Amino acid sequence: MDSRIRTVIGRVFDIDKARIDDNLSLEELWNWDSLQQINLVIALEEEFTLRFSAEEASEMTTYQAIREAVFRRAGHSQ
Amino acid sequence: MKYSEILEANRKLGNSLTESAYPISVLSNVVVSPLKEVLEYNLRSEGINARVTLGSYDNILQDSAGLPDSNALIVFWELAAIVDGAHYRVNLMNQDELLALESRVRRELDLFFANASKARLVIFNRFSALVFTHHEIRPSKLTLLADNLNRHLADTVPSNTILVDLNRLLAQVSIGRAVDFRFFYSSKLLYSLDFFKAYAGFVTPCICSAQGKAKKVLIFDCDNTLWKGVLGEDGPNGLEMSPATPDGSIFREVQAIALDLARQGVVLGLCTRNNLGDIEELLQSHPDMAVRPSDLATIRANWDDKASNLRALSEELNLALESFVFVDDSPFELDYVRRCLPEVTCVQVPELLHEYPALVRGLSALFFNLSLSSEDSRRAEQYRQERLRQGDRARFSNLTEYLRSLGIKLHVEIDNEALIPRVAQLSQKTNQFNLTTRRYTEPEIEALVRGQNSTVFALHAADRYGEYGVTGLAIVTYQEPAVARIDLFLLSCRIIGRSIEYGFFDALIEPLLRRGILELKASYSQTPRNGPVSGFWEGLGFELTEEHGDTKSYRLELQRYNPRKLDYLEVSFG
Repeated sequence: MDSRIRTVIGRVFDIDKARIDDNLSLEELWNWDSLQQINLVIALEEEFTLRFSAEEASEMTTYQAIREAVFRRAGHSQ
Repeated sequence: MKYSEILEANRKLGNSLTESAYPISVLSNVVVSPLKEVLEYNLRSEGINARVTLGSYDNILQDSAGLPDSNALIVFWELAAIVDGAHYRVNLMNQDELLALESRVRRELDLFFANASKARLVIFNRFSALVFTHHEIRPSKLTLLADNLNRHLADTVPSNTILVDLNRLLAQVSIGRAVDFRFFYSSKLLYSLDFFKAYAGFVTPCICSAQGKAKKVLIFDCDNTLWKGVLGEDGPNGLEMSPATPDGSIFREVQAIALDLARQGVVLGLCTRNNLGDIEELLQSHPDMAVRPSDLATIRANWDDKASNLRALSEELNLALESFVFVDDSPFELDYVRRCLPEVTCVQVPELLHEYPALVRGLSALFFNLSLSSEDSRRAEQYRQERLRQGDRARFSNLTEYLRSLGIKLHVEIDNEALIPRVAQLSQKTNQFNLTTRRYTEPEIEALVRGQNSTVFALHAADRYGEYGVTGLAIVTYQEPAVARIDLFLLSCRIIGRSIEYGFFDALIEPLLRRGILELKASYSQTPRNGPVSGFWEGLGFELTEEHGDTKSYRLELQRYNPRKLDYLEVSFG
């Protein structure tokens, strides 16, 4: 699952998967903005067939937060 | 294809396509950003080097006035957003309010189509209330409003415009899956990814067609494609293509759809491994055949491979292979054609035969072309001439007139502590009309509001249709005597396109002069989002003093400043 999360982030922000680690903060990327954030959220939702709340969606701006949210939602939906 | 894969593949296609760019501007009063990548990818896959740009949010009219005619336009003029909260406010309106709203939108539509009359292509969504009204037993005011506006659209759209019936797309995707209220309330994003994929799938053939990339030729194999059975083995009497059997009903329907396409001008042909004489005999005299020789432009019945046959057909008909659609039941044959002739669109008869008629019916979109009925095109032509007579000057005066009709009121508050949270939030969220894109926290704003060496100007905007709230912000700091610097100047995207920025800037001047300021410094720092305001300071008469990386610095002698004094903006102070 970690690898798939990294693949999606890498595709959305056009960055090398290997660069994505626990310290990644999306807001520091040159191409991050609120629309890209929506792109990321809907791409993750499609990838893992789950739904985030609006609040979660706006908070998922670090790799750690994204990972936690995906695992939390995937757990709920199983 | 998954969205993240589309994002990646689209980036690659964008870098590899060498065709000249096909600019598409998406204008909307809701957020439709996911459409950009999906549509670009669809079109680029068809060899159209689409460059989709999203207009500024809720600025359809203003944006349409400034776009080059070489752009294609896609317009999402959502009923739910014709005024803020229309989807629940309209039903509470009295008759007068309703009429006023309807006539205002009609005028706006007329102005839009005047602005867009020379655009290369306009794709405009019909108004739809369905998302909010599908449960209704009797039509609500919202439903009736949508109907009235759609009637007006049907009467006025010019010939360069295709109307998209959103209700059909909503039906295709299903309403529940097509809308995403989660982001509607937070970001004005109404539609889901599924919807945007369906929408892009729908408009791609429209654009391909407008670019001369519509399909023209439909070639069918015969055995198990036009009928069930193999002519050479089962004989004419062993073939099923009549409603007498379930499978026969399916092939009968497919033949009828093909015939309908042929009558609309699609070039219909056959390409089959059979003896030509047998096929001709069957076409002539089999009682169950719907397609007859006169419906066919060509018949290739021989034992050569299908790729060679299609190539020969292309020469015979003098039509490019790119315009060919080929239907066959054999994966082997189709695979061979795909490999030899990748430009041909190959369609396989589905394994689940009952899906076959719907599949063939769906192909009709590929043959789409822009021709309209003669009456439609005549009306469209009259409309176009009328617009040409009015000319460009009329276009400009109309926009000013329109802005005047809005009754815009600006209210500027200076160092108001009650607004600190909203002001900080604006500085953090505003990307487009933001000259420096500096982000401030609440404590930072609080210090600026309370401090002696700074002034925080907050702008309220309203018009006759409602309040926009605090939607503009300027932060000025004083470091040397008689000199002030504008550290931040921004406008929320909700109010751009109305020249409010000039009224707001003018409002800063008087307080600054009173403070003894003679010189004003300002800067512009480029970001990926604020390109449209790069010339703002020059436009006000500022003089460029320094350029360093992405940042330009400016100065202005206040005494020499010429206020715009736009007469349609009413400004007050608090």
